[in-house]
Amino acid sequence: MDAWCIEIAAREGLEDPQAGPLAAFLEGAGLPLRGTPRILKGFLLPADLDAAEVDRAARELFADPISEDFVKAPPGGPRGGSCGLWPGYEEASRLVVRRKPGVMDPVAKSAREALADLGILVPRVGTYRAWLLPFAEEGAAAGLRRAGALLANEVIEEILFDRLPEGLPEPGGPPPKARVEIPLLDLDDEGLLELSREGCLSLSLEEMRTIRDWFAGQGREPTLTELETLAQTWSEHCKHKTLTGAIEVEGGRTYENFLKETIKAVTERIAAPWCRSVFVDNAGVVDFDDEDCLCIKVETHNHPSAIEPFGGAGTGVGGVIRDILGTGLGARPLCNLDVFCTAPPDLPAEELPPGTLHPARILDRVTAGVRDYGNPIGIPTVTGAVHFDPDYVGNPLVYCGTVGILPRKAVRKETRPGDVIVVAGGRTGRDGIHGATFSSIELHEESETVSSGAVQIGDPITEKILLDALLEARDRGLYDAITDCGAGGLSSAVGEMGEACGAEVELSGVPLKYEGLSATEIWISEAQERMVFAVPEDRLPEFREVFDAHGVEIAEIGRFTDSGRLRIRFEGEILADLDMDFLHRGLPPVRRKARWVPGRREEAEIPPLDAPGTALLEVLGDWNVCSREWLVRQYDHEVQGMSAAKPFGGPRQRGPGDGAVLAPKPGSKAGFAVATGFNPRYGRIDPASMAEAALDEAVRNVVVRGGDPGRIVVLDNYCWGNTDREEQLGSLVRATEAVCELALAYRTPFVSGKDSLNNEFRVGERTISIPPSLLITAMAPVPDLGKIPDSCLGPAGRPVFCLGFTRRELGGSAYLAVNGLLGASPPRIRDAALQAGLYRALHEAITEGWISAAHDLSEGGLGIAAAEMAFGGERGLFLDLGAVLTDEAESLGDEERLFSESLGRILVEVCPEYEADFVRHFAALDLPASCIGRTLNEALLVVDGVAGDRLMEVPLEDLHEAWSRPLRDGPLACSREAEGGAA
Amino acid sequence: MNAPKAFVLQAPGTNCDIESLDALERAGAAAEPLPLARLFDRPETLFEARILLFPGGFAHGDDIASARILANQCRLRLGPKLLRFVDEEGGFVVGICNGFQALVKMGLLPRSGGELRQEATVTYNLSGRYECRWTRLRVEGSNCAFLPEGAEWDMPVGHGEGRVLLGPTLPADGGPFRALRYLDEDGRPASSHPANPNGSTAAIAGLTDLSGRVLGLMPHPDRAYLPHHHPRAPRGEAPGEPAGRAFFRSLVEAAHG
Repeated sequence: MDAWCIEIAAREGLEDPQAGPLAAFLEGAGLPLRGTPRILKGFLLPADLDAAEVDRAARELFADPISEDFVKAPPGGPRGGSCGLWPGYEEASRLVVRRKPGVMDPVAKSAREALADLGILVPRVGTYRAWLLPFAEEGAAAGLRRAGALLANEVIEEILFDRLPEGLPEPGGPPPKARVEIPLLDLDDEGLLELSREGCLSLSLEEMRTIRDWFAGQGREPTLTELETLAQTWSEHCKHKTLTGAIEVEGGRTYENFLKETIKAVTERIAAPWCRSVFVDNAGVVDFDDEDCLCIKVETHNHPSAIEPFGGAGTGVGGVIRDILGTGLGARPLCNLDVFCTAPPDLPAEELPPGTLHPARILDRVTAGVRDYGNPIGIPTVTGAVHFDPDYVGNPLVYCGTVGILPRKAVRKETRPGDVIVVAGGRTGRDGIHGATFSSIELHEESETVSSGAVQIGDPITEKILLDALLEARDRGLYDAITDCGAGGLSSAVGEMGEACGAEVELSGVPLKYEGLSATEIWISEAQERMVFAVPEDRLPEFREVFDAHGVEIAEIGRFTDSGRLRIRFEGEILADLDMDFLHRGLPPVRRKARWVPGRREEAEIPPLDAPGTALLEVLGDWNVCSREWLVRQYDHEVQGMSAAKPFGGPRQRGPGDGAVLAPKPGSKAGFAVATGFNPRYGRIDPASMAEAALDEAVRNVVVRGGDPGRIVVLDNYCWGNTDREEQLGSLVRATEAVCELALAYRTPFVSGKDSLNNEFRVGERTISIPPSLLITAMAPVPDLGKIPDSCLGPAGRPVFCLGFTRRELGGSAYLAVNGLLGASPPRIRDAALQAGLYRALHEAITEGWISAAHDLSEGGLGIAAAEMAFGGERGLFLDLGAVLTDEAESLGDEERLFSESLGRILVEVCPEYEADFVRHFAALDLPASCIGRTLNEALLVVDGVAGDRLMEVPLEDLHEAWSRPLRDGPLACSREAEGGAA
Repeated sequence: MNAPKAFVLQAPGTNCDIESLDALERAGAAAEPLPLARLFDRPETLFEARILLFPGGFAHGDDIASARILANQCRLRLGPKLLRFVDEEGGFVVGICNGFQALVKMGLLPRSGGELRQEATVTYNLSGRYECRWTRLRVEGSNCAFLPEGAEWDMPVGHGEGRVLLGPTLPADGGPFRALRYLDEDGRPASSHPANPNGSTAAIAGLTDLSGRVLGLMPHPDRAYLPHHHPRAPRGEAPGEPAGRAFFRSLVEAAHG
């Protein structure tokens, strides 16, 4: 079908803010331009419109009358050499990128509706992006192809060179046959494994045998729908079968159900009465006040983000928001957090394995993905982290978390037989097929091509109106139960809700984005923005009314029953008839062996501190220390008007803060703090150190923001390599045992968690495992929003104290990293009771109003924390390293005092009028607190060494510059040289 | 005296409605949400209120361009009613962020000629990206009928398309339509990033119309109306009356007449 093309660009003579960075990026990639590139937005309209209608559409809808120019090309017009459409660009090369058929395109959908507002009715609209690139040199054709590879993602987009798109995309096709039987009963082991592999089922031999034997007992072959349902439900992603299975630890104990005996046991032993619902629902639920509870969940979306970072990260955010929407009878999301792990953005191109995206591009696109989902849906993104390590090169990590609030009376839900099964929200398409099973296997060179079906693109506005409708329906009591459509799609959602009773589903009622989906695809599609409800028959009319009013589509797709069976039909034909008990409890138990193999243990020669000022500037510029402002400011952290502690503090918002504080109820002085702790670099030496550091840092990050240490809850998120290997599982067990012991001592119950195993990348014979990566998220109530300490220094002449002991613990530190070393002595918690006491004492001091600023010591140690507080507050600081407390037998050197990353330490500025009270308070409890400095009038960081010698006097501007420079213009700006090397 | 009634419009993708309602209520208005579809069904509903607020968000996903679809819908379906509300009923219309973009693109701001025709735009930030940060503003001498001239306020922005550009029918510096400007550290109109967060012409942060009863601005008074909103609150350096509170109070008092 031929079409009109309308193209829009920034008005001639008006600066296009994207053009300069694009030209610089291309030049860095060895593709210099001789003029400014023109960046176009393209729209395709049906050929049967007349020129006047197309003109009106362009003038009134597509192009801005003040800031944009447009051109139009009629259908059947010349398609080659089309740069002549744009005067001055006749000689330029044209690159056109458009989404492949079937890939979600929210703009095309909106454009069609907006044309109807103008009285222009069309069945479909197409969109594309285009660039007019005046290449400086000969060989523009090759340059164009390379630029295409850099600007498009061929997993979801097609690239056209030097021509306009031919016509409107035509998705769909006739639907395939509904019921497909799979001959399974006669398969031997080899045949079973082949079927699992070819069908992307990700089932083990034992699981395939179990399925074969069950169907043999039924006396029939399974259908494709049944096999897929089992594969989704039994996937590692949905069942977490490794960590809920048995683990035999070499030289240690044997766990029958690992998570139950470790993480969950901690929560049971602490038995906090304010934990409302833990490990049973979508998210952990804890009390907030007499009326409401908070719920929190953190998820990972690693594999989708590896192959399509924008869509992967965006749908990661969308997915965890739906987890919160599906908690209890539905919670209102309050804020998001995210943590990204990639290889360093300046990774040389020759070190990039085939089949992977450059880490700079991944970071750029995952940031955009979170931004373009979180900002439009109106949920503030308030905290998180970015960590760089070369071994994330093939398998980046994307953690997404959401906190929500729900009334106490809405915590419980129960599906009742007879309830109507209703699906609401977005339509179902062929997006996200096999996400659950795909995420449970390793990535490899060909993942890009074989897994494109696993990619989803989010549509935040659809989720926003779904959210609004759902909360109204909840408050009117219009349904009995709710869950999100996540991994496994309807198969997991309906299977889970009907687990205790049974369900009958008729798939022909599911609204589709386009024709051509098979029934099984409808059943397992992970298309976004959908929720499933159990609605009592008599409530259905009102339920429909509410959703209609919000413009949200709903469909009845079946009924919950008391049959104990899951029956799926398509136009009446039975596609699946499974026993719920077999589906949910038939999975053969997993039993694995684990072995702890200590990592590299070469004690590093600590580099002496020859030029202390220079060393401090170097550490400030380390990838894992430097500013993340480029990312953070792209996220709306203020929407909903609940922000009570910002990501940056100080007079010019320069100093990084620790956790975020939100005030969910205007008029109340109570809020809550949320923060993360994460340092996989310690895990390279010892996972136990990493685990303790993660928990301790998360706890400190909420305590310095006024969070009550007696009411902290934590979440565990494991990302590991292939735990079929004993040493991988061994490191996971070691990390878990350490974090559980510390959580018990801190009395911080785990309320939710998630694991993502098999984070590996195979290229040829080589496998790159990610470093063991345990993320801990902490949340605590903040009793008084008026008492939150600043994160930066304030007036001159105030005493600055360091809480906690500093030790000879430079292993995994940023100081060693900038010297190219790892070390062997990572930080550990030596006295958990003392630490817990320290945090309680600090909280009391905050409550008394004695503390004017507080900041935790993490990567880079004391030197970095002091620098951040000083340049943030634009207030000088004198530090006396001789006053730093240690409990080591031997005295520490200046480099250790300045850069050791010992845990449990916090830097605080004390109000001078309360200094004596503060000192007395910590002394009475015999807790380590030492006055190590004082704020200054001069804009300098002044440090004296242990021998009383002046180590440095560095201007605050220099410190801020060193910290800001590396990522100031974003990761793509860092990667130019690297990608140029490959040209 | 009755509290003046205010409608807060809810379009698909509006996401600042709850805090806007709360801020208006605290400033003394009787604020109610008004779904866009209901307003289109019964446009006369508008005349029940003294204030119509277009809150922030991403109406229709900001697909095509920010607030473009919402602006078209309002112009095509509500145009005469909106004009009557402002010109004959003496009503107040305020747009914040996405709502400001909508008012400009439907031609209600600055409307120097009387009819609904787009004369300015709010387009992509010169920095090339979305940014969330606190800014300093000053209320300029302008047509605006309710903001306290000379007031200096801190409010956050959060937008990717906030750069105000004026078309040829308007004074190059905004003239009497220039209601709010971004200030730099020295208290001068901000010419560069980050004090001018988006590269707006003449540091314009907000525009008004001929009547002075229509106002739009990119910064968010709805995120700056409680004491703990201010980034300097932990230092005790936040102003006594939060800027957003002063903003909504001025509006509600003026609407009260």
